[in-house]
Amino acid sequence: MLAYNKSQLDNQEVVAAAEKAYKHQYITVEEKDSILAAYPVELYTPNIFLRIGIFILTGIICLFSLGLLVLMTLDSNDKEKAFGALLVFFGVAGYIAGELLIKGKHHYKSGADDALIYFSAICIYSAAVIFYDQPYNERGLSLVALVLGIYVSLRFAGMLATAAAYLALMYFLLNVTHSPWVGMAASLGCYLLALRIKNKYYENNSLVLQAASLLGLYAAGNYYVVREHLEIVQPIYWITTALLPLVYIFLGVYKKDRVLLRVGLALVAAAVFTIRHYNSVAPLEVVMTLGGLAMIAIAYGLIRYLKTPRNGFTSEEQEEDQEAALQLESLIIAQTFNRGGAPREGIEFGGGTGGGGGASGEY
Amino acid sequence: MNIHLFEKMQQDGHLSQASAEKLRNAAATKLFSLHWELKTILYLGVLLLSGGLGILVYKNIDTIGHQVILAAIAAGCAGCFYYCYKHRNPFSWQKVAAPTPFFDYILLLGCLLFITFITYLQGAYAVFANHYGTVAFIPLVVLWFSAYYFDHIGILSLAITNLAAWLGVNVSPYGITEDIFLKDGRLINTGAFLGIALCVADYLSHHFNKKAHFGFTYRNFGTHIIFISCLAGMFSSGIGLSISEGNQYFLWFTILVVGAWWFLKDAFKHNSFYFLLIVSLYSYLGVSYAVLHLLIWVDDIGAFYAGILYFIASAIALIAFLVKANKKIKHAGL
Repeated sequence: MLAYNKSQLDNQEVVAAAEKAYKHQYITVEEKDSILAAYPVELYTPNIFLRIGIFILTGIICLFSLGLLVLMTLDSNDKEKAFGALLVFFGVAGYIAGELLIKGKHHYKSGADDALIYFSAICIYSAAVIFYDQPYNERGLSLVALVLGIYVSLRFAGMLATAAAYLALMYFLLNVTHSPWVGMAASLGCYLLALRIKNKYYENNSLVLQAASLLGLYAAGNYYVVREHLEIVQPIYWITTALLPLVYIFLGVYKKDRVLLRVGLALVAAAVFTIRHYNSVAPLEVVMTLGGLAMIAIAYGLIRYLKTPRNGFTSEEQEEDQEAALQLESLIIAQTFNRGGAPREGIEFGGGTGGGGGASGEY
Repeated sequence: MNIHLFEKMQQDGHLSQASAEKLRNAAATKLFSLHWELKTILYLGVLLLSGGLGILVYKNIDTIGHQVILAAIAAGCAGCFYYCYKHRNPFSWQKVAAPTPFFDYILLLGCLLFITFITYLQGAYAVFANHYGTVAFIPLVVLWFSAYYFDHIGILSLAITNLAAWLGVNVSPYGITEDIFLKDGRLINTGAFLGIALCVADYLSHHFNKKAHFGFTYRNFGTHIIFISCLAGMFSSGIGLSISEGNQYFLWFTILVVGAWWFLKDAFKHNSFYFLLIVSLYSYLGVSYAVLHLLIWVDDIGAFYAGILYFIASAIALIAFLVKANKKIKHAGL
């Protein structure tokens, strides 16, 4: 099912592991070279920056090619149908181009192959929206998205596609029934399914599906969502709202599962917001101050406690690229604190944030 | 690290007994690190606490009184700096590691409290009267000194954004896009000079080997600011090709092209693909705008087609260039 050459992917994994081991000086340079020679990699996988650049530029090429053909076929009789047909054509062409790049040029997540595949999927979905217009049917369209998402996930191991497929499934269920329990059960099913994916080529898809379904499971049972969007008022949902994050965190620590742990930590915030939305125990600033103090205390205590590893946990850093992380952190600091810190630039210069038109892309 | 992978490699004779043993040890002693989770909680805690206290003080200003609040802020600030001074590693012009995991955060808190203190002093008592420049300048000096003395890259970026604020430009890394269409020519000029100055600071850091690891931060801010200023200069100049009536369109375009040429050369020299990419994309934006400018001036349906064809062809050319440059650099680092 996978479009990429499996033995090549295996080799790439071996080479990456060997280079990592060499970086940590577990193996000698001769051993590394011998491994590199024994496991040749022909896949074209450039670094992340080039990948982003190629992705953007391939997107530009696809969009403007579409624009060109739309211009040329503009004066046909049935404009909508013509546009739909054009989208189908581009969907098929983009897909073929992507497959050819993968087969012929051994592209693997180079930016070009993923851009083409996602462009093609979006084209086909948009064509479905156009042709499916009368009568407008949300169930059918979400099924189309689900099928497309599953196909791209299986064929190209696309992570975005996996998330899209999960969302499409949830949307479909929402259109069938308004019961939160169905959504929760389906999310739990997706999570268990993701845990069972042991095929290493789909490892990242499994992680994405795990995170998405855990978030979805919580959202489906969240009091705010249930009350405001599904218009069901039952106190039982307070239990899921308050307890699920704690269950996630407990299980995450117990099973040493990072996805569970991180999602659980993030959802604590969601739980607090939900509870505060309906029961204002204390004014916002008091909650912020006390919450901040509690978080600092907990983090401080745990960092101190885990400085010497206990039960396989540590608060020290492990095999991380420190330099890059530090730079990222500095950007975040500058971003979050700047507004408060910059004293009244407005008074001096009367600078304004005037909104000009988007001048770069199109006419 | 997947130990089965290495077991197989050992069987194939790629690994010596000693190396395999090392790998097995590493895998057996592998720990589950909560480093980033805990740091994030700590960081968010600092954020919430300072925000919450701010609002608390703001709402109760009548009952507490200015002096008490000022004294509390000053005490907190002094406490933070005292802790940092006490625990610091000896100063050096090279990279200095943080002595404790909390050091960076306490220093950050101290600096933020100091900024609050000065702003508050001005707000409540107008100590500096109308010298708004001074209000921004004092924290600037403290921030810069702290960044160098305690070796903190986060404080350095804070200092750079404060410098920009002092000069009247907003350069928060994301906020900058909001101000991209600034019509004020003076601000754009200031931005361009600031960008150049920051790049010079990077050069000097490396040249004199004083805190050379700060170089990237200077350069990163500098490069973005220069190119955004050039683009803002081009976008804010009117449509039309006349050089008279103060139209600086050509000036900015020339600076953009010269800057792009220089930065690209430099990126190759430093083997930095990150800078190569951002410079390429910024210049692509600038050149594309110039081409569109020209085509709008022609004002014809043929020009419309030409514009679309231009984008297809130029994107292909840029991909080819980036791929070729990547082969030359072969380095994914910053």
